Parts: sequence; structure tokens; C-alpha cells
Amino acid sequence: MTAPAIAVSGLTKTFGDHVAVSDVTFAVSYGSVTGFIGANGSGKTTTMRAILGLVKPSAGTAVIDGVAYEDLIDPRRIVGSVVDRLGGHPGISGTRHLEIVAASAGISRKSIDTALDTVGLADAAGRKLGTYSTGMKQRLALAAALLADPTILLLDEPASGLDPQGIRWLRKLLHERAAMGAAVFVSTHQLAELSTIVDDVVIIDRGIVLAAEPVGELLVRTAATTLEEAVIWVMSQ
Amino acid sequence: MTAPSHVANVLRAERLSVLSTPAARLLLVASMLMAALSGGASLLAVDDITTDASLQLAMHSSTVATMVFALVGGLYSSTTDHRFGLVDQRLLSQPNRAIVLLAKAAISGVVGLVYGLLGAATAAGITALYFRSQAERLEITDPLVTRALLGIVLAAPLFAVIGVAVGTLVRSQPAAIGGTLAWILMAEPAALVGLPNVGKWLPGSSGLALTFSPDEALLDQTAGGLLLLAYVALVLFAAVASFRNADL
Repeated sequence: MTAPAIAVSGLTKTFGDHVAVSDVTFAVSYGSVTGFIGANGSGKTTTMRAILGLVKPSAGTAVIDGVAYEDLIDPRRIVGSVVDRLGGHPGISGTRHLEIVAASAGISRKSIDTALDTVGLADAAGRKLGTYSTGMKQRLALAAALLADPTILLLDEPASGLDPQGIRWLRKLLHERAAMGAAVFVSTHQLAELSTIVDDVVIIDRGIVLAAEPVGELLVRTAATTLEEAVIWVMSQ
Repeated sequence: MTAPSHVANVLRAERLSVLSTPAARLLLVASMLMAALSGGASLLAVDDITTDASLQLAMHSSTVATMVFALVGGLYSSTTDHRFGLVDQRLLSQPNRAIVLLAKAAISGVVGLVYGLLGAATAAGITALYFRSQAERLEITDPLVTRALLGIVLAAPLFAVIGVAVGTLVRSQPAAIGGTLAWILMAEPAALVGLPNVGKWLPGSSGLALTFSPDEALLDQTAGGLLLLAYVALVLFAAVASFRNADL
């Protein structure tokens, strides 16, 4: 049994008096798509940012291949991530944004053209980010995540702003990546976006993990026929 | 342990980022314009430019603008990173926060040096032009001139780094820029007048001393420079400590 790509154990984060996440524990395996499902404000982004080292846990641990993100050598070659903000200046072009990301991680410039082609932004790459639609910014964020062809994808609401064709493209991309052996961890509050491709689910509500198991087991346990039914059942308990 | 190549990557990305955003260029042009305007105004106001006191005042008036703009440049650069989430992208590539911040400070210091060199050239140029209009000749090797020019070349990068550090501590762009300018342009001058024995030890005053201000209430140029260097170290240390533990 291979070690998990991502392992979160007892993760707790408080901001002042507000407990954002409490005792969160789950694992994400290689070769699978794990859906991180919860409503807005349930703690998904906080959890993901804690895994990436952008937020400091109040308690517990979050590791990638057994190591904290801040201890990874060349982290972008291991983890490609889309966090809640694009992280790009509106006055620069898409290409320049990726050049800066690539430079910061020592990734060759050749990867930029490949990433732009993969996300379908090659024609718009020369335009300034301030002129991009939400969907285009999301595609650019995915391009940045894919630059170094990482073995783990950690994506926070990647379908946000994408049109139906874009969502279909995203589902195909994530499914293919997992089929090639990557670990895909993707958060969403819209089940319909990704329900057809997830192998495992982590359901979170008000900062507490309600379920962390394979989809098949969840369906059996909840006697549901669809993932949506199962999630609703879990959240109603 | 961070490899030298990783540090080089962060520096390269930071350099590319600064060169890509128009704000740095705009601030630099504005800095030179203000240096020319304030130096020119001071030159027109003095009775006899050939006296040491007048020459020192005119040179200093030109260089102070450069110092303030370099500070604003550093503030703008670091607060923009937080405003648009650029700092997240840096840390995803290089999780060592001290390295990311120090790289930013280093590149901003180089940008500050450019401010300083161009500011010095502007001050020398506008003063030389005025001298020529008065049928006089500005001696660049005159110690009064070289000390003023050297002062701004040294002060501008230090203030740029202070700007980066303060912008990291106070991430809100309006608060960082507004608060710092209020301190430098209003609080410190008031302190220097009202409590000169306290005011001369403050960072802005040490910058004025380094840029060879004729104000006798200030420290001498060398002491001012050393004090400013100490302030840079202090605020940078605080910024690294704060940034290391910050939630982003």
C-alpha cells in the first residue's frame, strides 16, 4: 500500500475566536480524484491553504508525501495548486504571469507554451490579466498549476467561473491526470461539477469532517443512489 | 536548506515582476520630476548660489524627493504583492518566507539604487544648468556636491528596503503608504522642531542627515547613515519575524 500523497491529521485552525476547522483528518491517494465537498464557509479553503503552508495550523499536521509543504524541495514540481486567488497583477499579460511563476520555481520557459495550450489560453496569453474574464483567470491559474507537470494537484474550486464546456474539459483533464497516477484533490461546493469523476470524498461542514471515504462505500453506507443524495444525507445527520 | 539555485530563482522572479509592472517606472519618472522641481525651486529662491550654505540647501532640496519616492516604491511593491495575491504564488514556489522577503528587499534595494543614481544625476544636472545660467560653473568634485550626491545614492536604496519591510508589516496599501508618508512628512518634521533631541534620532531625520541636509539640528552625515542602516536592520528583522508566522 503506497503512502498517501496528502495526509491531514487533527488539523485545527482558529482565527481569533472563530474556529475555521476542527480536528480535520483525511488522506488523498495517488491515482485517484478526491472531492473535498462542503458549502461556502465550511473550511475547505482554510484546509487547503494549511496544506500549502499559506495558513499556520493551530494544531495538527498536514503533509505531502510525508513532509510539510515548507520542507519540500522544489514544491511546484510535486504539487500544482489553484488557491482562491489568481495571484497575478492585472497590469501584466498571462504569458508574463506564467514567466514569473516559472522563474520562481526554476521551470523552463518551454513549459509555458505547453501549459497555455493545455488550458486553451494560447490566443489570449498576450493580453493583460485585467482584461481576463473569471473563467480565463481560472484557466490561467490551472496553467500555472500544471507548469511543472506535478504528481499532485490541489485545486480549490477550479470550476468556478468556467462555462459548461470548460467544466467538461476540466473533468476530462482531472480524470486523465488521476489515470496517469497523479493524486487529484479538488474542492467544490457544486457537486454536479465533479460528481462523475471523484473516487473518494471528504465532506466538511462548519469546519468538521463528516465523512472521508471512497464514493462506493459512502453510497452503500447512506443507501443513496447518487453522490448528491449521499452528501445531503451525511450533512443532515 | 535552501539551495543557492532556489535563491537565484526567487531573485529572478522578483526582478521580472518589478520590470513588468508599470508602477516602478512611473514612480521613477515622478521622482526625477519632483527632484528637478524642488531643486529648481530652491535654486531660484536662494540669493547667492555660490555660497556653501545655498549650494548645500539647493542640492539637498533636490535629493529629498528621491528619498521619499524610493520609500513609496518599496511600500507599493510589497503591499501590491499582498493586494493581488502575488505573495501566495511566490511562497508556493519557495516556501521559505525569509528567503522570499529578503529577495524582495534585495531587488527593491537595487531599484532604490537606480532611484538614487538618477536622483543624483537630476540634482547635479539641474544645479549645473542653473550655475551655467548664472555664468558660473558647478564643480562636481566640490565636497559639498559629492557628499550630497553620495548621500542620496546611499539613502534611496535603504529607504526602498524600509518601504518593503513596512509594507510587509502593514499589508494594507492605503494604511502603509498613507501612514508612512504622514510619519515621514508630518510627524517627524514636527518632532524635529518640537523635540529636536528626540527628533534627530528618528529614521526620516537620519535619512535627511545622510543626504547632507544643512539643518544643524540633525546628526552628521556619517552618524545619520549608520543610524539609518540600523533602522533598516531592525524593521527588516521585524518584518521577517512577522511574515514567518503570518496567515495569508
